[in-house]
Amino acid sequence: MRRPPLRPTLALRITVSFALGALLVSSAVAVGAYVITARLTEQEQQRTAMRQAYVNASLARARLRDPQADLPTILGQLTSGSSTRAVIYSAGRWYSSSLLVSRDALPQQVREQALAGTPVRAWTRVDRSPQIVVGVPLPAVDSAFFQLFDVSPLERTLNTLRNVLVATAAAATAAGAGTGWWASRRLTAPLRAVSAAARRLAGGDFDVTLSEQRDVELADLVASFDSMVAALRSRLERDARFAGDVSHELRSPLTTLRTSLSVLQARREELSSRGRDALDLLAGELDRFERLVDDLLDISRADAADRLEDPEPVRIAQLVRTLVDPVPGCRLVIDPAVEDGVVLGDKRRLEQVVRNLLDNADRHADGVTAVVVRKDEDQVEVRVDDAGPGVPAEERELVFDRFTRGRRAGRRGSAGGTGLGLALVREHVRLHGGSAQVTDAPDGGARFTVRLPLRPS
Amino acid sequence: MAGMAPSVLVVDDDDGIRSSLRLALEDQGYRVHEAVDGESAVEELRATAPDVVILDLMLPGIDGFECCRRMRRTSDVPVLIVSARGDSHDVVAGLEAGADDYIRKPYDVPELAARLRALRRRLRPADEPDRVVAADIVIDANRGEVSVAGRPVQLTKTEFRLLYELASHPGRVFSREILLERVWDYGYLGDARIVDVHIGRLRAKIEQDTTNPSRLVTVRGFGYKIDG
Repeated sequence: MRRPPLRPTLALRITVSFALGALLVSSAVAVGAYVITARLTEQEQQRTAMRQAYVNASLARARLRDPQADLPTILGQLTSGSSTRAVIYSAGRWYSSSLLVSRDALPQQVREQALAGTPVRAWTRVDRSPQIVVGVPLPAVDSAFFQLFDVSPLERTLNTLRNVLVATAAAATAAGAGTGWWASRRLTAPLRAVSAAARRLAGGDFDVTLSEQRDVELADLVASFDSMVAALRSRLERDARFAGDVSHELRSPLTTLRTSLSVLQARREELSSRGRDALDLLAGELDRFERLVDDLLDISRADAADRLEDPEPVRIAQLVRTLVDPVPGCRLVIDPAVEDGVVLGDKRRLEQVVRNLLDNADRHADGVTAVVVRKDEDQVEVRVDDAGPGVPAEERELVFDRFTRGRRAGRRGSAGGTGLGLALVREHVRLHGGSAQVTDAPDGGARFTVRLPLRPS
Repeated sequence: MAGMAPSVLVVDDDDGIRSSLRLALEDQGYRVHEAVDGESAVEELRATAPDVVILDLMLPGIDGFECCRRMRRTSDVPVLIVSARGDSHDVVAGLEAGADDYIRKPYDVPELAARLRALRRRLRPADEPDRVVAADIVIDANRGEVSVAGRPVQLTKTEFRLLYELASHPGRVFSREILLERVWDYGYLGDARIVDVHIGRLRAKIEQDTTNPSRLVTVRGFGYKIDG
């Protein structure tokens, strides 16, 4: 199934939107504040400069009427404040209040306009300090007065203001992103809770519930999820119990059949040969029927359990030896390191594991050739090799399924198997916290390997 | 009763099972009595005094456990319980109600016959002494009498046999497997819980403080022993 490409996570999208929103609003506010403040203060400065320049210009004019006037002294008096400097053009010569400014500090346009008789105001820079320059023509004395006002403090203030506004906008953006992140987490928390619950459910944990989710918007989802879990659970339990109940109910008729059969078998000699054949068929199939009933019960119990009830110490080497010793033509190798090894488990189930592996080799693979019990770190490994054709790679998982009818299963007809033997091996081993698998034996056949955790000694 | 055919009481509500068991057990040389529920089983036990009882646990009316307890009030007859489930709770509860052994449905007739034989055996193994003394425990196998600290104690046949086994080898530790083999005739595949439940019942009769036994001691990881 092809799925459409995934979009970036919801959380990311929400976070980014919040951050962008905050950035937009905060930068608009910052830019507006900066522009308005800058214009108002600049206009204020210009007005002040003009006023002062005109006052000074008229003072200068008054002094210049005196032909003996000492221009440098006049300039010094006019610019006793440190932040302004003055330049006077008089009788074709330039005079300056400071060595730092001269004629050249005045923009050419300012000079020309003032000398042409038009008052002028402009912005310029002297040694990189911003200045307001005001030029006032003094035609009565055939001069022009220029004054430069250093507005560095204004520029510094505006710079500081700009920095503060940028920082504020950045902080607002970050706060927006944070709020977005928090909101998205908050918003997606129920989604994550639902998905975690679904994962647990898929893992077979039916104790899962969403009832700790208290959001009103989720009430429906919580209720339907919880009731789905309950329905699923009771369905599974009913299925498991049904198999168990069927298997129990079959026991009484089976007992009667088996008991009556043994009465007949005791009189075998009184029967005709056709009667004897029928009796043998009956006995064989009854055996198989009985094993099937047992296996069904065991499988349904294994389905109902996820761990063993009161495990007991089982000496695994001894258990394998007891079951394998009577098998003709089978080599048994027991690693001395595992001779006293103990598996905490259920003796009956462990016997069934070994017995089913032996039966399986018998039924489908011309018998078992070797059984090896060895220690593998903190596990015991039981290997059962057979003389058959092995299990093809694509069937190696399938053979452990219930009622599998693979090529291997069909090899010798039904041959009395229940179709549940290897499934039970896997279930029992799983209950003991171990694993079961099949690989190739070195000399051809199949090798079934069961690993079980050993009790630490 | 010497020379007479042994008798068995079959308690089961399933007609098929009772009828087929009658056929099979008569083949084995038993006289067979039947009961369909717990109340009539107790009656039948009083009336016929069978050598052994086969008791199904799932009965209408009073169940197998209660039936077993009622039979135990008046009789030390060996009781073999039949469990359809074979799960722990049923088996242990049945043994604790006073049964001697259990078998799962569906059973083999030869297996059933072997269990019945083991239950009916004499009170002591052949070639063992009649009289055994271990500390303050005195056993007279001929009379089937036991006294502890001079006071007589009533034991069922299986409890008697278990005590005899332990007391006739004072100080020796018996594993559960050995006891299963010697008292119940089981091989390796017997169920160790049978031993544990019987040890518990025996202690209730011969110990003053069952939580802290002084006569029949557990040797952790090995089994049980009685010191001489």
